[in-house]
Amino acid sequence: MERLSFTYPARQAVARRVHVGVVGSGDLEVLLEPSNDAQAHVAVTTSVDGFGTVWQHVLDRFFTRFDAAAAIEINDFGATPGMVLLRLEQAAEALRA
Amino acid sequence: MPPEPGAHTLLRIAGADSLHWAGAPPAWALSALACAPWVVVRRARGDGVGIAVGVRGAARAERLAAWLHPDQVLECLTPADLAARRGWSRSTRRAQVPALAALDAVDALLRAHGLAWGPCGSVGFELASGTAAAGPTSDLDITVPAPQPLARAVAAALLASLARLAVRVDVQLEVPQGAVALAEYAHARGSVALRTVEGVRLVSDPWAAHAGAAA
Repeated sequence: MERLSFTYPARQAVARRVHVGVVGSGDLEVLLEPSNDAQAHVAVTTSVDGFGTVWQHVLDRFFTRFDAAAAIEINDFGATPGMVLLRLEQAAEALRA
Repeated sequence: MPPEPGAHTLLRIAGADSLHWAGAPPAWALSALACAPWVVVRRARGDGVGIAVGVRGAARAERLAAWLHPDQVLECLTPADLAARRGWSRSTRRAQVPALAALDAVDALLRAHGLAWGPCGSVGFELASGTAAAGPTSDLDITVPAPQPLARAVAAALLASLARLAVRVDVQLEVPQGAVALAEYAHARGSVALRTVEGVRLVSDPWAAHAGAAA
């Protein structure tokens, strides 16, 4: 079990809460809600230790296209980077819907 | 054996020399294979010569991709084979591992729903290899073939029944194009994640032939 946190600059305000994903092997859940400052905060709890650099790369990639001031909580159960990016994009999509 | 064994199929090999790797394998992978010479078929394309497989070590971070020529397979066990063999009834570890103790109840429940099933993950590996892989806090990962569309109401009823068991059961529905999580499909209002050999993508209907592009 490892906890990681990341902060990114943000411009857009977030109006509501979003919850996507699954608690299950190779998957993750993403809980997104308005942050209380003008930044995006990501708190990752992962069952697999030692992949901080991979998380950094995946989140950097996501935040090149996402600029909402959101507090994002991620509970990871050994998802691949592809699954993590898909769940983040699904959360962003749900926010726009 | 079939030319393309499905994801989660367990393959027995002679040892580490039967595999090819992207780089030099770490020491944990060699000792894991010396202890239990079994690999798991990954949901990924083969490399043209070999089947895409994974080596599992003791720690959760110890998972390594490898490839295996079909000629090197000594024994092949699908999750359905493991369910049919009911090896858990002979396991002396049921008192320590709730995921093993729950298999009789899971078997009865899936049969009552008219569904086939099989264990995968750490429990599947333990049943195939005969070496301890699951632990006291292990979830039970199972796969359920769903070649035809499963009604959402049936999926939700199955999910609710499984939730009453003493262990967390994580179900992947095996659809023609890949797999979706029962927990997501049962309550999905929008799209669900479909795991395929090309990667994961969002689809609105897991049984539709070609929906969306790979992520």
